[in-house]
Amino acid sequence: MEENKQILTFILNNEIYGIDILRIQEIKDVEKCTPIPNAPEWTLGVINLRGSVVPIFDLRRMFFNYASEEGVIIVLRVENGGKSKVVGIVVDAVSNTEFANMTELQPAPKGDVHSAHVFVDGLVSIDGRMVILTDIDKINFFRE
Amino acid sequence: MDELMLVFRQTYLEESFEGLAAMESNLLTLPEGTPNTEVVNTIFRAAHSMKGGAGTFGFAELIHLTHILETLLDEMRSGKRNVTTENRETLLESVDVLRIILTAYQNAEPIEMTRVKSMEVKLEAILGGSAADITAAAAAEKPEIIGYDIHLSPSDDYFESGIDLIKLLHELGRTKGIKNTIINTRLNSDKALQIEHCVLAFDVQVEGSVELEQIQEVFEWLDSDNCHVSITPITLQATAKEVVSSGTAGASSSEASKTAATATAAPQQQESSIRVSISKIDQMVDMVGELVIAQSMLSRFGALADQLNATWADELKEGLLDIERHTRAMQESVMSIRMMPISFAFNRMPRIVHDVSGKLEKEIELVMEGENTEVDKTVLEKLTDPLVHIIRNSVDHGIEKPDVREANGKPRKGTVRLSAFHAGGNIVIQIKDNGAGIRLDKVRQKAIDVGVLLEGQVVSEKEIIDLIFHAGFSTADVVTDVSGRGVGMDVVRRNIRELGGTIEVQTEQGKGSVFTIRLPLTLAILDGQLAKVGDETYIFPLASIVESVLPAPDHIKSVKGNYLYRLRDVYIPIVRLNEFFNRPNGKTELTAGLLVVVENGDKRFGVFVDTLESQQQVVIKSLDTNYRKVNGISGATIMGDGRVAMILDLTELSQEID
Repeated sequence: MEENKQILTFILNNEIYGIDILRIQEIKDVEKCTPIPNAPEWTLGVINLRGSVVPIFDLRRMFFNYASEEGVIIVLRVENGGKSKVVGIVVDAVSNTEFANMTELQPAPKGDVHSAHVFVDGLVSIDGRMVILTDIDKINFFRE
Repeated sequence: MDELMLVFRQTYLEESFEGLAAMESNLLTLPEGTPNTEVVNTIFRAAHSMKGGAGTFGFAELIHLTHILETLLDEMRSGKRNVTTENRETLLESVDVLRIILTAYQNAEPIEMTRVKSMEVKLEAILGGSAADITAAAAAEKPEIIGYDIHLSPSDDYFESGIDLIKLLHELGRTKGIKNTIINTRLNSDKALQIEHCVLAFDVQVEGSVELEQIQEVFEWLDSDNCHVSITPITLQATAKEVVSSGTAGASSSEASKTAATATAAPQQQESSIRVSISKIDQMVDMVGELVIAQSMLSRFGALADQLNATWADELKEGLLDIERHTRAMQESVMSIRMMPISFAFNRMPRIVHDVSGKLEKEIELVMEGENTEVDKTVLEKLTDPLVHIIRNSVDHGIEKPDVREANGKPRKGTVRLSAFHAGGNIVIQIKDNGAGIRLDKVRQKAIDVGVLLEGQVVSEKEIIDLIFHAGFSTADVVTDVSGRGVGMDVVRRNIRELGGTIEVQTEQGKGSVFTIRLPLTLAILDGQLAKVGDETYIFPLASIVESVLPAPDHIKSVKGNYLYRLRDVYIPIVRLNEFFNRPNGKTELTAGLLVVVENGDKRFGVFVDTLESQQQVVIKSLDTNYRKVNGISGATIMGDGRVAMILDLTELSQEID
């Protein structure tokens, strides 16, 4: 495993999460989505991203049961069933780009509330703060 | 193999497959008896081109087989051998074997040598002796060549090629077997003299008995870009002059035979064309799609132009109109690049009918109509297999044996009619036979046997016909290797649905069956009708809309919570989009909105919306690309204001009603 991985950190439910920066296409303000019929409520709908139709998923509704008008869309690439798809996830805020020392990756403590999150890879400490690293491919956005 | 060679190889393979198709279709039209020289020639040329190119790539198996094939064709061409049914069948079979060989080359797989060998034996058996003997004899009969007429016309910029023509001419003189060389130089330009330009041409006559290849070798380095070369053998019978080569002197014989083709065949106007990769075209289609969106975005501002000063407003409007017109034209022409005549799919059918009817001892005439109807290339590719399947079925199950037909007062020869035409926004393909029709009682019994239907269950005729599209369903009494395994019709329907099309069957006992396939004209653009439900916009395919009505209160009937609407004298079911899509949106009172009456396949139903808005062409974007298939939605599109709107899938909506 490479030692230092560059990540983007973002805020979700008052905690700091990190995601591999190479996955990220862009960050944009929340905009009005076109709803997808019969989709789960955390699927906000689709937006037009320069000619592509991109679905937007609200991680706060998906995992933390709260909704907010505020937020940021992170547009990223996910792998789903061997196919690469571009999706947007809604988080509370984006904070910074950091280097995470992957050799210090700790497994999320068992029974901890975070282990409930299917997408948690482990925990790292950056400048004394705990960052929850995520593996975005573990989320099944496309279930009915 | 270097990259360039790989490209050539691919081109060669593509051309060879086309050549095989040409051989096949010509063989099928080849009448028995004294051979039609024109047709045999065409077949011969195709085989010859293939052989020529094969040498370049070292395809030894192909060379060997085509060589024997050529010998046989040559005998027919020169009138030494008549066309018999047996000959023709063997030739057709050899086309199959050639196809196997080529496919193996293409996929870099080992060749099924047993088939190749047995084919060679078969062909040689017809030739009545070893192939080598006959060719030797044939060669001996060829008129003796006593020399060549060679014309060299270098292009203006010939000097840039850096090839010394004089050296080549000297070399020609030194070629073994050449006795005399006469070189005439003439002026090859009517333009003013320019020092860098080559203005001379050479007419060379050589005497001596040498092989054409030896002469071609001398000029191997010239190609049609820098110097036009033509070599004509002079024979004892000067009448048998034949232009053999032009362009590259040392080119593969494929080049040579093509020239011969233009020289001998009836002059046929041919459109010039280039090969372009599909991905490039798709990219262009995408880009034009974007342009259409940008254009509709702009045109909204045209309405605001009135607020500007009058002259500007007019100019702006005019400009916007121009853009709209050009965008539309460009879109059409780009889309047309993807379009190909349906004959590419149809052309396979005569062979299939020929083979299958032969095997089943049936007499069948295949009539094809509308082969020039153009369809999208993607549609074409996915359409061929279903068509083959239906045609096989028609021949196998549909058309009766000649004796049976006669006994039923029908002509001995059955007819299968394959036609394609445009109707509304659709392409319609019909396969019609005048055979026995589908035995509905048999289908019904079979359905009960396999447990799809219950004994005594009441079903409509239509529903029974629909059963043939069930997986694992075949009513053929005997499973032949033609059909009857019950895999197929379900695949046929699935393939057609994937293309956004429908398939319908009509049948009449004793009279025959009609399979009707309806396909959208193109997969990328749709004429849409915008409709509002609450603040959401949905798009109907315009072609499916029959009419829209303001629901009258006394025409609405409620049956067990489902609403029906009496449209003139027919009750049609109502689909409420907000309920179907589970959206807390839009009007609930039926009389407050509009009922859009749509037709899908043979189903007619009303879709309840708040209001209708404009009609416009929309570019279909797949939802699957970044999301997944959504029931009731066939895709999405981007509107003039940049927002996404959903396109309704009426087939899925209609299924919800049942």
